[in-house]
Amino acid sequence: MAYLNVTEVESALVALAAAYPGTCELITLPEQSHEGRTSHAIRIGQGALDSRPGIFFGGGQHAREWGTCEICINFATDLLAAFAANSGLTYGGQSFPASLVQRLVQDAQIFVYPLINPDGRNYSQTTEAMWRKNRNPAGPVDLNRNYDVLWDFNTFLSPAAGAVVSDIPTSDLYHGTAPFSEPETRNVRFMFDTFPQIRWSIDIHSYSQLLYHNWGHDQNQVTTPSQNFLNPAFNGQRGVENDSYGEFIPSGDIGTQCSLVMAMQRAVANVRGITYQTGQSFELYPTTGTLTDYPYSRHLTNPALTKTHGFLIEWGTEFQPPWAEMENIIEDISAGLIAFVDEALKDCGILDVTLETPTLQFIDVPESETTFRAVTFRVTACCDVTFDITAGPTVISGPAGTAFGTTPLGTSSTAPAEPDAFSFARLWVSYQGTDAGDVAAGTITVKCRQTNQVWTVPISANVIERPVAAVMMVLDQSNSMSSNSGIGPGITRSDVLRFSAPSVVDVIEDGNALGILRFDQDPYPTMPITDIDFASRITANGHIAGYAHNPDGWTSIGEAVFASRTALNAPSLTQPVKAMIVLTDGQEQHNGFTRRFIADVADQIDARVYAIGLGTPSALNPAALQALCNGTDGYMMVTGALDTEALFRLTKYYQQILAGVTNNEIVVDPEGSIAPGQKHVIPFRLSETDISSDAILLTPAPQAIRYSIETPSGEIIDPGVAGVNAGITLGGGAQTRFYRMSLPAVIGGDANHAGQWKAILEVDDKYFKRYLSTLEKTPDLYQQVKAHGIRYSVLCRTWSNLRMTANANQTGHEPGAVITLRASLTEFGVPVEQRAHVTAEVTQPGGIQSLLAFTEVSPGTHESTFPLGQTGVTQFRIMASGRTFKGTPFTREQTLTGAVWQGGDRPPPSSGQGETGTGSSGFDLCCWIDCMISTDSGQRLLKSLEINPDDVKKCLEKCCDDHGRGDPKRPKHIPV
Amino acid sequence: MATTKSNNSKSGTPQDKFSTVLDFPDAKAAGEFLRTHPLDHVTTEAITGRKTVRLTFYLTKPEIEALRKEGLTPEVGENMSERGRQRQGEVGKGDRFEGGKIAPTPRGLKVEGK
Repeated sequence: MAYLNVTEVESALVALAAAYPGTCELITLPEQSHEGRTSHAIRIGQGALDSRPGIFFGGGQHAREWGTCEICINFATDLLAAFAANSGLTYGGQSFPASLVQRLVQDAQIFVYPLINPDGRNYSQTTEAMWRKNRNPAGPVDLNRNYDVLWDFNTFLSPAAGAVVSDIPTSDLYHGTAPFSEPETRNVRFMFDTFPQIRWSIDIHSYSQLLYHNWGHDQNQVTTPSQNFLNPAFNGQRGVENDSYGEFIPSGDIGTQCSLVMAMQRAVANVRGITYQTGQSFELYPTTGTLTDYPYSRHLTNPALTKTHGFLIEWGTEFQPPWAEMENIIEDISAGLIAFVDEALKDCGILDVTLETPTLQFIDVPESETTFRAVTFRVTACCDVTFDITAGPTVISGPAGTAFGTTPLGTSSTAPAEPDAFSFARLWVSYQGTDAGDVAAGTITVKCRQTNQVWTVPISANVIERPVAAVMMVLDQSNSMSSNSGIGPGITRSDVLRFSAPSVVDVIEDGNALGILRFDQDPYPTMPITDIDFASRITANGHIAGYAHNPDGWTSIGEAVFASRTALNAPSLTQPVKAMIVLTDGQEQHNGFTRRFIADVADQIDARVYAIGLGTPSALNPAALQALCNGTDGYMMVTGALDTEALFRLTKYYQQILAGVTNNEIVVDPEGSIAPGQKHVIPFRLSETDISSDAILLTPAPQAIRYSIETPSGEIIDPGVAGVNAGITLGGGAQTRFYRMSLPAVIGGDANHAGQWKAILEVDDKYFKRYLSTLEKTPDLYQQVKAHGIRYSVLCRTWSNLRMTANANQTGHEPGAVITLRASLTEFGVPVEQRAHVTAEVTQPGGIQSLLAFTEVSPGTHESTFPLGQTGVTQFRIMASGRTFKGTPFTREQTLTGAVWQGGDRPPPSSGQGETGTGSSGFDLCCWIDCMISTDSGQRLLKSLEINPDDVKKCLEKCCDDHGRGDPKRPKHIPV
Repeated sequence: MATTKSNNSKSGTPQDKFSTVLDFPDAKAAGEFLRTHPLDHVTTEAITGRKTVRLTFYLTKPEIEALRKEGLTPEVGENMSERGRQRQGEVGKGDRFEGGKIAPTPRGLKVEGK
């Protein structure tokens, strides 16, 4: 045997294709060499060309490195013959079983191109043995400097780089007149262009006993993506060791490449004990335009192309060893190549790729809202599988302004390796609703880098009006609403209701609908659900002003919510959101009336239920109501003990609930007191995700506070500005002032949107004195206002594409229960993953405050728990802050309450519990016993039975709540 | 990895290339030399235990003389072109595969114990 001449290299390839037709395919390269030679490659792989991962072995670029062709031919021959014979392979001390050979040929497609430079090899073998370049008659070229990666080394590299490349035609390192100026390198490019399956490439050379991987022009680094060969900012800086520039390569890619060279190293060493050195190609010397880096650069230059890891073998210790030694080297490297293919297939075995979204549908997108939807692939694979948007998203039809877009999440997505189950890759598409009733269609094309599969996914969309709500305000008018509120002498719970409820009427946006239903043991539809406009606001506020309690009224919340549900389900109401806000100060109690409890009707309530409990949980016994709320995606809030703050707290609760009902997000909700001479500035942040915003001032004396807004550009929005800018309105009522702004808010030519806004408050002295004079009948309140100023809350809310939903669940209602708080953040419907921080400000009964940290338990969802140890209401002000996709800061807030009380876990009353004393019979056993033991006949009866009346009282204390018995200030047997 | 040096003939044609070694005090100096001297560079070797960088070239006699005129002291080794001419005698003649009619013989086939 001897070295192959040029003719024999090509004949060997033809012979292999002929001898193994089921596993070897001859590939004729398109361009002839300068001397007219036609080159060939072969594809090894069982069956026809398909999407199986590809591996490229190229050699013979440098004419004098003869043995490379022999290595390639021998590798191909051994693999094909062993597969056909179902045999294993043995090279010295390295063996490969037959099963491995079978798997390689079945699962991979191996492209072998042994002789890239036939003219040069022929010249070297017949004339000038040390010839390196091709035989271009216009000036021979070093082919391995002629690829387009960093070809113009004078531009890309530092003058101080010791790069082994030259632009002098007589040099052995001449890089040619242009990238791919040579037919031989164009043939190589043809291979990569034609076979995108190729994911690994080895360029085989001699000599130095090296096994190298990317990159070749500078040291690798994994931390600074901006330092890459495509970034012109670093031109003139590359190629110098240990300086500030390093070529970026993802750490995962380094891991892949290292594992592959290590696999080769082990196999080579096993053959006869020679350990090749491994490392990155730069360690040899700085190079540009090489076949090691060209394949890997392609996917960076064009993200639609396959990522192909590049490798370099420098076999042996001289270019043309004696043939006897060359035979040993052939075995060394053949073993290394077999091990390489084996390791590569471990790196990528794609078992299944399924398109989960054959169509991409944007259904019922509200006007102006931007929504994201993802083209989703489910992947089962041993390697990361990457998908790229290669075309679109393109609009096929739709009204003017229709646009489908890509998102900040990028145009590529990778499903992480998951060989035993599956993972997902998602390519997000955005769509902004145009006008209600519009429909649009489009298309997007996606390609898998690894399998080369292409999918064209149709897109459809339709637009609806912004969702509006039908809201029923459900107001308790039982007798207990006449009780003192705790705020001041003569101020009843009814007064608190009349103070706070109008804020809902004043702030709710036009287009929504509002109704009022009062209830005691019976429901009383007071105002039918009516579209909100100027007139209906006046009507609604008139009804609230005329609200009065019923001295004979008991409490049937079940009847009230059922009647509300019936009203909200009227066919004439088309609002997609239907909700009721229940305000009550007592637990369900019907006395002698036969009425339904919450438990009786809960499964029929299909509207969203929010509830506000006015008072302490032990008095409200709100377990059933809370369960009802939670079951409808609403929630319940309890004010706790009524005091001077209760009036204010109730208004805030109403506003928060209203924000939730009308699909608004609360940005900030701070509160304070402002005195004459003070100026309070409350900053709040809006982002590009926000569509409109309301800055609402809640205060018992809005006329006494001068209220304005400063935009991010420093413009001031005051009542005068609001009056002349179409996108800004000033609204309000007896306890509210608010600016309602479409975003961006254009003032003085400046478009104000994302950034820090400020609410500015100042006291008007004249109106302050007037307000103070109205408080003289309530000394506590008077003194408080005189000392600290006017209470206020600035509630900034926004209709936004960035949304937070928060909810709470308790393990029970007895002290010791644990409450789990959960806040979920989405932006354009996509979880705000790893971009937000959530905490809660906790106020326990008695006013003890603490801060509670949340943990992100799943993408965008944050969770925390808190033990409810003390009887009463614990308030949680949940605060989220983070950054949008574009990096703009945002905040969101929501308040939730938890409540526990003695007896809180007793089953809620229902019609089937008459014997308990709270059933539909109206018979109250506790009350009856309490009454009986206070009478003479009762005392006698107990004595005859030898029962101590004090023991009975102790049992009553333990087993009965304070209803009808425990509250010494309250006469027994009054309706509650 | 090191270049093979021998005391073989240093004669031959003026175009013959000789294995030539140059040592540099550090990588920067070696890089500067490579940038300014577009010669047939074969290997780079960092000398263990020292900062010295050793570059091996295949150079013609005129190229070696030019280096000496620059004040450098190249260590000239074997005539690689002459060695190559010897190896050319180990290149196959004709076409052992007869234009593709005869397939190459496998080398690593494990006949037994598969």
